[in-house]
Amino acid sequence: MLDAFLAAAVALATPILLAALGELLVERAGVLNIGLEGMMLVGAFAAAAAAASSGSPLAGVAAAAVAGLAIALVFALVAVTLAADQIIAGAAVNLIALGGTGALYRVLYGDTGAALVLPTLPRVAIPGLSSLPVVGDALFRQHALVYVSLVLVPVLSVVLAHTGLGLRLRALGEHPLAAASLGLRVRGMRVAAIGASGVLAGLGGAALALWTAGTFVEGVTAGRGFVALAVVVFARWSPWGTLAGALLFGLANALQFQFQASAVGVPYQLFLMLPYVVTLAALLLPAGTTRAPRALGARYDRE
Amino acid sequence: MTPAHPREGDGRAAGDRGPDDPASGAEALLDVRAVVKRFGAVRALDGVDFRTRAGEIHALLGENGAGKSTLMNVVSGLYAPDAGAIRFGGRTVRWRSPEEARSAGIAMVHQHFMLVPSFTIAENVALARGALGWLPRARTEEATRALAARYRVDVGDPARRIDDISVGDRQRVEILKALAAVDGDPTGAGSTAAARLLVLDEPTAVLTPDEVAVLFELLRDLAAHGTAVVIVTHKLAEVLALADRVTILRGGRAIASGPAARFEPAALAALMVGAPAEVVARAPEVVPAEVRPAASSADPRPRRAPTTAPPVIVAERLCGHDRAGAIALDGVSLTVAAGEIVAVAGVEGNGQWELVAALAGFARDCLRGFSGRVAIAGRSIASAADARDAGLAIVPADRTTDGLVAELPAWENLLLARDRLRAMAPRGVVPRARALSEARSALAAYEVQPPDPLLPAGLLSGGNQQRLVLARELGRQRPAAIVAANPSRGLDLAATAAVRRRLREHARAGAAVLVLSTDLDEVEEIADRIVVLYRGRLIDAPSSTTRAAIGRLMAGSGVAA
Amino acid sequence: MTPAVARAAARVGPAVLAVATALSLAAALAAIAGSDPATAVRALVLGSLGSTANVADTLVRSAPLLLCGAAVMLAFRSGIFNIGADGQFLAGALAATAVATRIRPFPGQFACVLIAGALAGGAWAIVPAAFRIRRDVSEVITTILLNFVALYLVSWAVTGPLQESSRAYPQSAAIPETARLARFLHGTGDRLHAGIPLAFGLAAATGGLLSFTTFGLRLRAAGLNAPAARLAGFPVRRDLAVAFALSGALAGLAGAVELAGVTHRLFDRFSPGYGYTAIAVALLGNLRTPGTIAAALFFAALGAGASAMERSAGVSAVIAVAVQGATLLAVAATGAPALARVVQRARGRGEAAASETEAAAAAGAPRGA
Repeated sequence: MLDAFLAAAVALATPILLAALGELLVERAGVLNIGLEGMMLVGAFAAAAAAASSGSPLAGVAAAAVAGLAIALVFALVAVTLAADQIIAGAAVNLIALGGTGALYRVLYGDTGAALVLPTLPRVAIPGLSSLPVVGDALFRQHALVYVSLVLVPVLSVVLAHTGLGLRLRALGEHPLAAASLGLRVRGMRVAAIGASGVLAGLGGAALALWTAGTFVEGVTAGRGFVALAVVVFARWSPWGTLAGALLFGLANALQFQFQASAVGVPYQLFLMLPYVVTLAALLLPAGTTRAPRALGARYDRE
Repeated sequence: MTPAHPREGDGRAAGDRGPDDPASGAEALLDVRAVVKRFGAVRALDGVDFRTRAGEIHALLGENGAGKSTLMNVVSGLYAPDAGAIRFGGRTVRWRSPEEARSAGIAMVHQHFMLVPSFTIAENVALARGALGWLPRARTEEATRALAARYRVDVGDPARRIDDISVGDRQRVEILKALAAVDGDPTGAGSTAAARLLVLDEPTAVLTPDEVAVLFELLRDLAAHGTAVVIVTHKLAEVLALADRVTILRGGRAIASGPAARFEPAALAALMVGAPAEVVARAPEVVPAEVRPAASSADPRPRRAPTTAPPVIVAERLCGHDRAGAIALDGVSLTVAAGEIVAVAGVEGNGQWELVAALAGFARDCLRGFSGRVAIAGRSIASAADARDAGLAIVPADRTTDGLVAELPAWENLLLARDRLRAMAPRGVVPRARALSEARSALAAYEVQPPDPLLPAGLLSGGNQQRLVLARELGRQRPAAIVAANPSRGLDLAATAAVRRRLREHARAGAAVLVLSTDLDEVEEIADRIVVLYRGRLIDAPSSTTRAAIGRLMAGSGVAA
Repeated sequence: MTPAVARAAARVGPAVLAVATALSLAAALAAIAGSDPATAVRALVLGSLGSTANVADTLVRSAPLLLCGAAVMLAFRSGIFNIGADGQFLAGALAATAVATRIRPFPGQFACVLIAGALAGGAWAIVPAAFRIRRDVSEVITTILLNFVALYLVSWAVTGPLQESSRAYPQSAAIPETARLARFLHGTGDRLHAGIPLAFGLAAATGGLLSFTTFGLRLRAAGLNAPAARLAGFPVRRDLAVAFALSGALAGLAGAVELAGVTHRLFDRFSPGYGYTAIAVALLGNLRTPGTIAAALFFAALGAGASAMERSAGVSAVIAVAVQGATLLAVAATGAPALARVVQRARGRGEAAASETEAAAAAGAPRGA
């Protein structure tokens, strides 16, 4: 029972974890991307469309990565290269994604009302480790994207804290002018970070469409992109904290399903609310000494 | 205390011969000829000649706006000249970016440090060296130590964060960073030659006299090892002690150049300002103190006798920690009487900002664990509104972040004070016509250029922004108290004199004036009474204290830890 | 190009660009969907402006966008990124429904309905306000999270305590006549309601508040440079809390107006994302009243036209959302300072002027006063 519950929690956390890790990179580089929701949605749609037409979930994953990258680069063009306001650009991306995927969905699959049936991602069990009690299923018998997300956490942690590349990225977010004075290409690096986050958000959308929801409907992301934003703040911009935050959401989400299945009289909407309320409460926790990258969200406009 | 003159027996024979001296034989390392640089209609550089040789310390003197920084920005590759030629190391060069200049061996230390505050010293240096791969902390710290040893720049423990170190330390980190960025040897084990040319832009602006001495030692050492050092400054006295050669810029041209020993201090001042030497000699207040030759550095300025006027600004046992948890104010108690000008001397970062915040009434918002009492004109101050209502005028240290809203037009910025806004609009609606006309008068009175009330404040030059802030704060009828932090920062000589005059006028009219300044010249010039702020504690500097002693207090020696 | 012409072009440019983007994107999407682009575009234009009934439709659709847009404008100018207008809208609609259906009808009830909506919207904004003012937690996150809480609250209410008596559909009972907003100009399809002039009036009032009052100056200062506002002795925290609440109240009022003027009952998915679209509206309007009004009307026209387009050309109406986003993006991109600088340099203006503006732009706040 617990095994299944934990496994569900981890799988539910994965889309958020992927998107949040991408956003983490981008925010450490000083860019605030509220268009994350739109990027995930685009990824989910691309995954659904590719998987439905080819029958292969892997094709879906690939399509999601590409689609996420594409829309991320649009955001990057406006928010970084042209140095327009980042909030505006992010809001626009959300609208475009919502309307675009919704309309394309209707065009491709008609509004028959029947949910799209998609091939799901295969579970891959890691031999040996997957038989561990309690965590075996949760950590070692999941689909490939879960492993990707889990591996990325320590990788990003090491890269950010202990490599020259990470140092440069962090400098962008703390003091872009100083970075520029040293010859770093602020805009170029930010675009690269945004591109990477686009791929990750796209993969998050794929995990959503090809596993969690198992289908695509208009607005299937249901605010997960925003939850990912909250998770990055909650995590104080650290990769391990992001993992914790995403797992928290996954747990709350899994709890919702558990309760829904068993509880009486309690309105199901309460459980739908639960993850968001939990995230809100978590944001109330004392701040600690880590704070946001100093230059986060500030327009960088030097030539 | 000015650093000892280097010419006395330092053994270097090169001192007196310049590149234009036919007997020299040594070609200039850097040879700038007739460079012109335009910004729109303005000719920032109007045919400048400038030459410096390896191993020479060359001071580039001039007022604000003379073109010194522009010239150095051209030399360091930030700007491309519109006309003229630059030769470096015997070859004509045309740099398209600072990186190209850096790879040629030119290191530049800007006036405003380009250090990432939340990174450690080692991380900042590593960033400058451009490493991409695996960077364990031990290795970056070791590399920093090696570089520091190689260039003989003492930065202390490289594991410290920039946030936590003193301004003097930060400057040394900047210098080390600049040298490291130029350094071609990744292992740090190569030759001992540092950059070929090191440029420092106003390096002594934020240093105490002792720190200045340390800096000068470092520079002499670098020069002795072959680096050409150019120091851009407007501080005459210090420069005369350090430099081998001096070049004076005015209006984008080099109007004089030669060995430092050849120039009389008064003549240098006159050349900088553009006034004939006799005028300068007769009326030294034409030339504000920082440019005045340090004639009377030995004898202290006579101070006023203790006043019997009623205290207006009263601060009792102010204590508080800053956001990071460090002690910002440590039992600060202070009184300023009506008509008195008290100057708080101190290097930035010792609690000045927190003291201003406490007096202005919003200490509770930004200091943790704030305690203490503040009263202005008898009123207890618990909020910023209280302070303004009590008649406090505040000139903040950083005009762009604290004093003005860049996007708002000048006339709205002139209302950016509770009492002024209330006076203009008692019933909540702002009478635009009246506000605009009053703004025009204020802009004219304080000589803000251009005097357009609709112009967003951010488009004004730094000096004019400061004038705008002063117009708002000092333009009141009768402020009961004035707290001004670095009031003449960014202002040219005439404007500086005007500001100090206004402060004195207000004091004569009965205001209590508190000036916080990092500039000892300003402190000495304006104060009736001097106190020193160091690490959140105030130390009295009675009238017998010499300038040198004040400098030491600012740096913390002579204070029980 | 003379300066006067250039200024006029700068003002009209974004609007022209917006319309051009919308039309060309609609045509392109119609083509992708296999419909005739010309038909689609014609339907789009006629559906919004082609007849008095269509114009009325556009006006009706503009009311919630205008009120939410005013809410966003007020918040953003004060430096508060209120992304929660949608949730505040729903909270307002919810409270309005409760007052309308749970209290015995009485004359003038519609006023109470509207007031309840405004109060509820303001209250919904208090939580994120407190998070930000007390704990320095970004309101971007908290307002968005509360949007979802509001969404599920409404869903619960219309399947629970507020549900209509037959329990057949997830919707509330119809609100009584006394709670409804009066309709006027019945000849235009009997759709124009009193909430529309109210929306226009409040949008203008919000702009006036910001530009002409001391409170407005304090808010703008706080939004652009909070430390300077604090130094000025302005009660920044209090002002921000009030602005946040006012912003929420406007959005909540929008919800109440939509209930009392148009739908007359609350149902699941009551808001088609007005709160989010309003962000685009306010930003497209450059956070000023005239622009916001124009943008609200433009987006409303898009929505009205899109419905017509769906009927006659078969292109899904939801495309309107994508068009809105693309328009916002295009205008933002072309209005970006970097682009302006490039153009300036191409015309040979001085680097000095450019670097001054640069310094001001880099100084922090993303939008003008």
